[in-house]
Amino acid sequence: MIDSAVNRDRLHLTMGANMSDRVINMIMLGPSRVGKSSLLATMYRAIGKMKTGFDLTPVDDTQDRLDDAYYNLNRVMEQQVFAPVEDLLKGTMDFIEHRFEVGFHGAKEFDLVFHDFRGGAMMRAGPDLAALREKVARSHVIFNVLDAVALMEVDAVQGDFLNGHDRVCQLLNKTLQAGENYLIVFVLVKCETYVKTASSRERLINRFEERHGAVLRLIEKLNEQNKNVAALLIPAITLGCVEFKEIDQDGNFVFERTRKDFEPREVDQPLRYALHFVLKRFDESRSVWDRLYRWWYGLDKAFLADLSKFAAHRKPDYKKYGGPHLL
Amino acid sequence: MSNLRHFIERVLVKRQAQKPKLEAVQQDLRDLGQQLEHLRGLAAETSTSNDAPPDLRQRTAALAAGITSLESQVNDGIARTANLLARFAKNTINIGVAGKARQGKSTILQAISGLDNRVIPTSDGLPCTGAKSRILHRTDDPHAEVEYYKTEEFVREIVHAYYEELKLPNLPATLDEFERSLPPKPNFEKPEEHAVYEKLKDLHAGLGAYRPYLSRQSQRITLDEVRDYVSQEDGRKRYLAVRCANIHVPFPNGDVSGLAIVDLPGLGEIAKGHSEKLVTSLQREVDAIVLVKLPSDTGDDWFAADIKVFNEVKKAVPELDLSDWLFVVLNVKQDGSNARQVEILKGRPLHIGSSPRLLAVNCLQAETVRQGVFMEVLRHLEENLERIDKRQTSVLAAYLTNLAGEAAALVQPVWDYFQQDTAGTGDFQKFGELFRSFRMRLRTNLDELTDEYRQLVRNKGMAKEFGAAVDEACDAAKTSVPVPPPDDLKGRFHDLGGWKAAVTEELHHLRSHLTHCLADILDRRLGQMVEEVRRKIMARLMADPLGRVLPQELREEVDPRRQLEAFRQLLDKDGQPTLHAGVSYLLSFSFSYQSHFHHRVREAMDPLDPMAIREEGEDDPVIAIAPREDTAQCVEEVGRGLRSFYERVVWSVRQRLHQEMENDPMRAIFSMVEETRDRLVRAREVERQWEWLLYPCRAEIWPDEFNRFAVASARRQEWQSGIEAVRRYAGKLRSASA
Repeated sequence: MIDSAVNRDRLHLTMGANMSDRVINMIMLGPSRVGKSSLLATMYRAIGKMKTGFDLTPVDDTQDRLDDAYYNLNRVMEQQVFAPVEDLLKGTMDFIEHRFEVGFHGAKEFDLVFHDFRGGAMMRAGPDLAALREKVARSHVIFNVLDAVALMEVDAVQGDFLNGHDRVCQLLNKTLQAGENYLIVFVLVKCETYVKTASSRERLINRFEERHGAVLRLIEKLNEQNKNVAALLIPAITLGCVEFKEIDQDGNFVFERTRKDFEPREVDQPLRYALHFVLKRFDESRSVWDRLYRWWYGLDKAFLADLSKFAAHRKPDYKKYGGPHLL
Repeated sequence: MSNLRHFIERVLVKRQAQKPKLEAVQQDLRDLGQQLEHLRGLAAETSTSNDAPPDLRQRTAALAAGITSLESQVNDGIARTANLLARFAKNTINIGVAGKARQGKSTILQAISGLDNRVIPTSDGLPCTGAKSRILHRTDDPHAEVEYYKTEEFVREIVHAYYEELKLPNLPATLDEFERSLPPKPNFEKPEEHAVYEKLKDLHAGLGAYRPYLSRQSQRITLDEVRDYVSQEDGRKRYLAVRCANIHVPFPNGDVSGLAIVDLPGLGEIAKGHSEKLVTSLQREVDAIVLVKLPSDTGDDWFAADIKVFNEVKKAVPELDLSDWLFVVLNVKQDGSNARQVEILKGRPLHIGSSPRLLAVNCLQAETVRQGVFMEVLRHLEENLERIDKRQTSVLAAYLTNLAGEAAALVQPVWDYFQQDTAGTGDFQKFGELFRSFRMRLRTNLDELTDEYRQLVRNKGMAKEFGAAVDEACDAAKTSVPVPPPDDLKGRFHDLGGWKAAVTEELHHLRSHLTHCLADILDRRLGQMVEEVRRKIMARLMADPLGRVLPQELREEVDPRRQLEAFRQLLDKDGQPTLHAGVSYLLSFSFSYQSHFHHRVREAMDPLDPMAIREEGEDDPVIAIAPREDTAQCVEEVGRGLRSFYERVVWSVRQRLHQEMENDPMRAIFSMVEETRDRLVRAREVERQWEWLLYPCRAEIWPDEFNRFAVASARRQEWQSGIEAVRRYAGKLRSASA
């Protein structure tokens, strides 16, 4: 159960009188060093190329931070053999908000906030965990970032430590609410080695479902009761030119550059699914007067047409869980 | 008589057929004799042993007393069988001709054989023929073969016969000893002993003349020379060295192949050794005897000397009636002067319980001899020889049957004693108690061990050990990446004409190296793990008291396989099949990388296999490693690519072994422990097999408990096996006699 303050906050955010004041929250969930910030940086880069009436504009210093993260990622990758252990979030902050304005044909529709945090917070009891829980409770889209190497190369105990399967399950169990719709996007990163062939991809998905089974069962259960949770699994190839080599004596995952070119693939897909979900929810939640105004000026149809165009760029063949009607 | 030759052949064939049976009987008798000797020793020990029960002592003493008599019967049986065997083994039918000097023996031999005085000397004085001769029918190449005594044979059979007859001291062991000196003449009581001593003196004095012939090979001579070898006339001494002269001549009475006439010297002679040989000849060699007697024309009778001769013949082969094989030829003088005496003798009863056939002929008339003696004897043999052979066989069979019965009866009381099992009853009860305790302890021991390993499987107990072995193997494989140095790699590039071929070859080398590293280290470690479990099983299996069945030097043996092997050798594959199979299973259990793991991790090595069939999307290592620019300058890049693929494969293999197979050794070892436990203590009938195994060695296993039983038990076992052997041979003799 979430506390009443969080409930009030959620109502305010979703039911604000002035639509442009609205904020939609998303959160990047995953343990330390799993690659949440890297994912966000590469997702933003990839989504930036979308050719629709919608705009996603970073505000404040979001652009700078994401550029730094992206730069650091590339720098690490310049080595032949590397272990991406450096935290991409600078400073001592545990939580950070990456804020974007979402507009349609030049007019701002709402603010989109990505809540990012040091992964350690998820795994430790105390104030950080409480804060995290509060942020999860505010979010309608949850990116659960999972390390594919940790899924495939280490045992279940170590895997749980690295991917926080149990902790994610506990967090979601305590925060997801009936009456609210959610999208959970499981993003598998560092998965280049495991998605080369159909059979290796299948092994990867099987291992995900095995290790993350408790979360999936929770989704199925909530969906049976409230039909309000959709989820999908996206293996995101953030680099495309690396190959997992081994785990070194210190437990670091060691990667090697291959002769392939740097070519991220499907990195835009998590954000594309997420934006589509929130845009649709946002559109459905407009007030009567707003609907009437938009109908009068023909904006409603244009919005839906562009939303449909935006949706068409989503790849359909991801493994889905929960309620497909929400996607 | 026209079928005489066929008749002889038939008889000889029938006799030959009896040989194997008689030989077997002879061996059985010898074995029986040995067993009786063994029982005699056993009886002596038991009957004087204080710890033997009085009843047993009494029975074994009685048995010992009976054995002496039985042994003499066995020896007699052996002699009888030997005689019959010798008789049946001959390849001729023999007619012996005997007679004292000047009775006409040589004349008869001449008449039958057609030989004359040159070969068969006749004499009016002393015995003329000194050596035995055998005349055989042969139509071509008349000649003779002389067989000589071997020196030691001569000393034993001739010289010793004199010494023993005269009871002389210093029996010579060799001919040299005999030659050196002759004991001085004692004061003989009997007059004939003086004559015998004189004969011995002659033998001694003439040694220089006949000695060169002793131990010579058989010698072929002409008929003209025969006389020099067999006659003792004119001071000839050579005959003393002759054992037998075989004279081959054509008989005047047609084809009598297979027939031999044996000149039997020694009848009534003073010379020693000859009469013994005569008896032997009668028993083994002669099928009919022609005894020549020249009745005196001044009056004659059957004198004591004649009766003695008849008795000697009867004694030699008692089962035959004299009429079956003895023909007395009463020699009618040429002038008929003794014709009256011949008639009188023919009509006078002998009163010896059995009568020989009496034939009256004039020995100087050759044709009369041939018709009246030779043909008469042949006719008799034709009509009776097979019956006589049967009679001799059946008499021997009856003897053996009786002997077998007596042997069985003799050992029966002792057998009965042990059948009551008085020694074994308490023993077996005690064994039963101890065995039950042993069985329970063994079962508990092995159950505990099985549970221990079951827990280990549950807790993945040995996974860490195997995991360490996997890491060791993979680290070794990774440390020694066999990618050639750049110059060598360049060489391959040039030799093979490009990077694709060079990379292909190097990938094969890398894969082979990895497999070798894994097999080498994992097999060693797996072997150690299995050995450790074997050791634990053996420690529980061979814990006291069972360990005492092993030889002393193996009880503290570190290598469990040697202990197991020694234990298996104690098991009878037929008697304890389940135990034997269980121990064999434990001994042969093996678990290796090649047999259990390699095929399962092989797929992970596909990146090092240029030939592997790949899925869509999967990297082809040759394409991935071989540079786009096919130049030698790219050697570093190729080396890096090979190393990179190799290291990634090492990781994959390591992961697969860890994640999918880490518990396999544990499971396999658990199954080995459980299977061993099941086979050794759980299987049907295995308890009985343990019982059969332990009972015979109970004294070794539980020495404190069975010391008091051990002596009795060993004695009982020895007696039973000895008696069983006697009963077995007796049974065989009885069967052979049937």
